[in-house]
Amino acid sequence: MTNNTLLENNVLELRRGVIVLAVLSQLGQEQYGYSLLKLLSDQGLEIDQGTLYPLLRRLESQGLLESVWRLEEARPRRYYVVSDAGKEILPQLKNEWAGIIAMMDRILSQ
Amino acid sequence: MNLIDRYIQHIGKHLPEKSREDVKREIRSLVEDSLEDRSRELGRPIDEALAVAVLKEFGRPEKMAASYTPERYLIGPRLYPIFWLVVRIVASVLLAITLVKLFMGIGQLDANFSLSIIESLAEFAGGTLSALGNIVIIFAVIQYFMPELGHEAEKAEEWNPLKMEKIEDEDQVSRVGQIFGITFSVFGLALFNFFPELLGFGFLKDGQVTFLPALSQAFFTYLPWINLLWGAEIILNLFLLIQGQWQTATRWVATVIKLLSVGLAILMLAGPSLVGLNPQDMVASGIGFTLETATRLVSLFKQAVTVTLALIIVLDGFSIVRRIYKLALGRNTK
Repeated sequence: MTNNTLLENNVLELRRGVIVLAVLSQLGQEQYGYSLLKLLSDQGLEIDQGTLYPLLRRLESQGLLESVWRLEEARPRRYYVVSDAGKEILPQLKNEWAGIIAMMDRILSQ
Repeated sequence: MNLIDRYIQHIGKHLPEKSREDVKREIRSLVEDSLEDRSRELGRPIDEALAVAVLKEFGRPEKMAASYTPERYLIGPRLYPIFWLVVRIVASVLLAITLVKLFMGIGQLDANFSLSIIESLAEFAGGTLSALGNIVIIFAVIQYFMPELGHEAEKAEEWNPLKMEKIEDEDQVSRVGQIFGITFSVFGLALFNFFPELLGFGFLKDGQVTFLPALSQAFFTYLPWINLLWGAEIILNLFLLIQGQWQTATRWVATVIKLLSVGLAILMLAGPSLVGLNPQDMVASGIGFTLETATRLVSLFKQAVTVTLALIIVLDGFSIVRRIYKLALGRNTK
């Protein structure tokens, strides 16, 4: 395994940990899969389609998201939004994230 | 049917029936969104080339479908250790049955004895494969219908580190084993070299002991090699007794001695018979054997020697391969 591949794999591993929080944070308002992908991409978080779309369904099955099919421009789209359970967990996840940043800053500054 | 339809159909083939239509509908919607956006960005109508580019980004249908389904196992990581344990137990039982049957056959088979060894080994291999297949099916069924089996057991019983089994240090030399090995080798060498006349069957007749030598002249042509190998083993065992620990060098020496011993066993098996008894001498000794009984006894003895040599070759052969493999990988083993 080359150094570049190792770096890529570890960066992917790092980013994987933030995807759930990023997704939940952007779904205070309804988004369909592609619009969410673009929304995250515009803010610098590129997520593979094969990762994001199944994740939305998984979060829905966990009760953190709700979805509804809507007919728009003559074709159906599935819209996702944070559920009540998701709204409850989101601030806790944000706190946790702030704690992780502070902890990592401490560790990396040594 | 256009490319998108074909892609969605292919994905559907790899999805569980329960969620198939819903996931297909969602992926179609996502692909169409991507296509529209790409067409807008590039300022050109949707065509096949654009569809190909977008579908390449989505990836192979089976990979896309797999990301929508939980990981599936024939035998999951929690059941695997139990599965492996069962396989080893069943294989050991089958090996024991094969060996018992083989030994029970000694003396009943004459000319075809070598063939019966091969048949027994083939029977063992076939039986083990068949048992393995059945065990895999049973565990696959358990995995399918009770995937949470391992999880539940873990939740029910709190793990206590103090209850962990003690594992002996693999590098530690067993002093009792070494002393036993040295004693056995010295006793054997003394017997072969200085009291070969004692290697036989003694009978009491008219107050006198009659002795029939059990080993042939052919056996004694191998004696220098036996002396060399057993002598080397005695020196190694003494060295290990002093050291108290196995090291890579001593493991290699032990492996080489074992390899040479297997080579010698192969030569003994392929060469002339090691058994010096013959039925005529037994009858002539006047101990009371009939020719039929004597012939049967000699045949039994010859077959026992053959089986013993064959077992040494097979079992030590496996052990040598295992040792060399572990030594080559840098893992220690006795």
